[in-house]
Amino acid sequence: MRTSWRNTGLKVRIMAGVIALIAVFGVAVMGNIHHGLKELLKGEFTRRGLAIADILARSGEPFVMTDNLYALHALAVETQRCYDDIRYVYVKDAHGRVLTHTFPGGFPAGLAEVHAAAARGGVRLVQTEDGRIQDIARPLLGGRLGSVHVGMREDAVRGRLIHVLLGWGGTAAALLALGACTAYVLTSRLARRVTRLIDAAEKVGRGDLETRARDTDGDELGRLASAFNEMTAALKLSRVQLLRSGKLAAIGELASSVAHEINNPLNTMAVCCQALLDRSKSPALREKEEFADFPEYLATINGEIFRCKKITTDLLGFARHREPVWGLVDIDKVVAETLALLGPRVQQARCTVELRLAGSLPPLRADADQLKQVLLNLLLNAFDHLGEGGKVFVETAARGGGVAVGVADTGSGILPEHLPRLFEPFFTTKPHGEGTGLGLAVCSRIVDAHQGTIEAANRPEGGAVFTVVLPCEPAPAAGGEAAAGSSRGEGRA
Amino acid sequence: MTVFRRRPIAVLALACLAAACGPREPVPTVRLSQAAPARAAAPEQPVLRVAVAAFASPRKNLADYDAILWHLGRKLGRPVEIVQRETYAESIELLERRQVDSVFMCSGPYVEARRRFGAEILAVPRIGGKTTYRAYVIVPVDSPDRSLDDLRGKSFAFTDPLSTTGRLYVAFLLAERGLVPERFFGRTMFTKGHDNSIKAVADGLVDGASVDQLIWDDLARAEPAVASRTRIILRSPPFGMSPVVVHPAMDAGLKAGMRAVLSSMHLDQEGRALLAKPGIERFVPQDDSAYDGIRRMQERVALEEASPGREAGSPR
Repeated sequence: MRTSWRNTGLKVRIMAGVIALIAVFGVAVMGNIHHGLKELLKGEFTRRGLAIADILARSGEPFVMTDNLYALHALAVETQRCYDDIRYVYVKDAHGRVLTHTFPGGFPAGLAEVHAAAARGGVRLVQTEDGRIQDIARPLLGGRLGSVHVGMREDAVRGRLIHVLLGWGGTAAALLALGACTAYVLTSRLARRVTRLIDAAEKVGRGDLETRARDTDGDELGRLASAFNEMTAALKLSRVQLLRSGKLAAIGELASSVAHEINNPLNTMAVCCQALLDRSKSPALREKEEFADFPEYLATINGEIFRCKKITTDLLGFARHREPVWGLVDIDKVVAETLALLGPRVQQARCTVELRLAGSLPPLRADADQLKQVLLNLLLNAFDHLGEGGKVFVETAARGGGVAVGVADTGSGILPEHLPRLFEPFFTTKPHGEGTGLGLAVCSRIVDAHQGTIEAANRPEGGAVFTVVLPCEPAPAAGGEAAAGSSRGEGRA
Repeated sequence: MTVFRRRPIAVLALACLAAACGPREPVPTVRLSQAAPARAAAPEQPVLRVAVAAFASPRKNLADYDAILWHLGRKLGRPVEIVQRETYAESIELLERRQVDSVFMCSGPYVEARRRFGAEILAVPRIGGKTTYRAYVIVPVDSPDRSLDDLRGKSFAFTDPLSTTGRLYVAFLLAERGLVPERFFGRTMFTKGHDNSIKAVADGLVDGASVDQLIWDDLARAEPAVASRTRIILRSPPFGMSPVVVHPAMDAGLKAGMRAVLSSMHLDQEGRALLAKPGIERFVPQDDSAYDGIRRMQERVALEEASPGREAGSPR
């Protein structure tokens, strides 16, 4: 029993509780009403009986004193006739002898003894074949002449009481039914909403992180659904980050080993190639026709060796990720210093760089060199995607208690299908051989370490924009990886 | 205990049900359709039955004379039963048929009883040093009427057809002018008690009434708020006091005993206290001749009322 109750659904429990509560309090209230109403009606009934008996006694006194039994009898009969609930009237003298009564078949045995001290008056209950009767006695002339007795039927009161109670009972039953129906409707709706939330939670548990709880009401369940959706989105993001971090860590390890292994033969090849290049400049060798194209081939080989070295250097640089060296950093200054390094590159790209620096931004707690690395990569990326005469915009601003840096260009923009993958290692949109695809992955890693965010989006007027948001005071990192930052390339600026 | 801790609703329900119940007292049972067998009357001890005529309302009469009669019975060693009737005529009949032993009677009815069966005076009360009393004709205190003539055509209250002060005197005055009350006044009624007539005038129920001086004086002392709303416009000559009367055939010993007790009541403190209630000083003997004046008035009124073809309100 205990186990089956614990296994019952929310709807059943609420319904049972509501019905039980209404039933219990309904019974209590009905009981109190019954008791109170019964006492009230009984009291009024007795008061009425006493009033009738008093009038009868006052009116009957002269008849008793003058032995006018006919008038006394007529008074008793008329009094009984006037009220439906008077069962009988009788008068006793001071010696207890019945002077007159309204019983057609004779005065009943035992009735006169009901009131032992009738001279003082009072009310006694009598059980008869006509039901319970209140025998109300009032003294005649203070008891010196005897007493008057009026028998009032309680059934009349009971009948009225039952009638009222049935009405109340019907109303209470209707209220109970209405309450139960209302509780059923409300709990059904509640249970449906809870069930939808449970289903969504189970789907998320099975790995479907795209599941969303569809409950937009403003009540507690609506807030729970909203919190659930936020939690699921955060979970998805965390999973993405974990996957990427794991991938990055794995790639880092692999890259480090491969680069290490390749670097040595590459160095040897570079030395040999350089030696051959030097020899190929010899005039004697240049005169021989079969060595005419040797310098060209050797130059190509040298270039490719250096390209491979660059790749291994990039890989090693990516693998040898270091923790930030924290210090207070002026982001505007970092931007200016980074642009100063890129002067020749700007000329080469034949583009213009427009600065929109906020000035007076709060200092960041960050690694200045790593931030320069990020800006460098973003600016080089922008230059690579600009056409001739294009523009690059660099903007800084305060945002959400931190600082935002945006690098925008007037280039060709980013294809929507590329946006989610921009920050993946080795993902590149450049032609083969023109990039390793590690630049944005490095930016993402550095931003994560600073507990910031980096986003890529297309500008409405054309081109792309990359926005980095960094907190002024990053919280202490947990587990060696910055878990609070995020990189998004989903088309949002 | 575990059950109650885990099921508070059950505890609540039990408490509510218990509260709805309450203690019940035993109720006697009677079958109303079953009549009690008739019982033979137990032999009664001889009771001294004394009637009090309807001077005043039965309640006032009982209050005034109950203690005196109880004293009488105690002195005579017999239980006393007070008998009242609504009219003087009934009191006379009770005595004539010897259904009562004695009657505290009004003077007018005594004269009638004397005439019919020779009723005898046992004693008369002396009040205010006198054994006579008068009739008052009264009107409401703010009434413009100053004489009996001013009451012509108006409403008037009598107490009893045989009452001296409650009808006979006014009827006599009108008879002297050749008039009868029922035609002189616009409306007449019998209130069956002098206190009733006084209250009827005080309440404005009637324009005037003829009442017993002794009862008016007593009411002025006991209920001044009532008497003060009336005004006396006419006082009669004195009449013989209302006597205590017995049948001529009454046992001589009982008659003597009653006379002795009544005549000596004033001699002790207890007796004086009892007599003070109706304002009686003592009981004294009285001769029948004291009521001759009443006899003459009765004859004159009877003559007038028997005259045929008299016009309403017109003098002879």
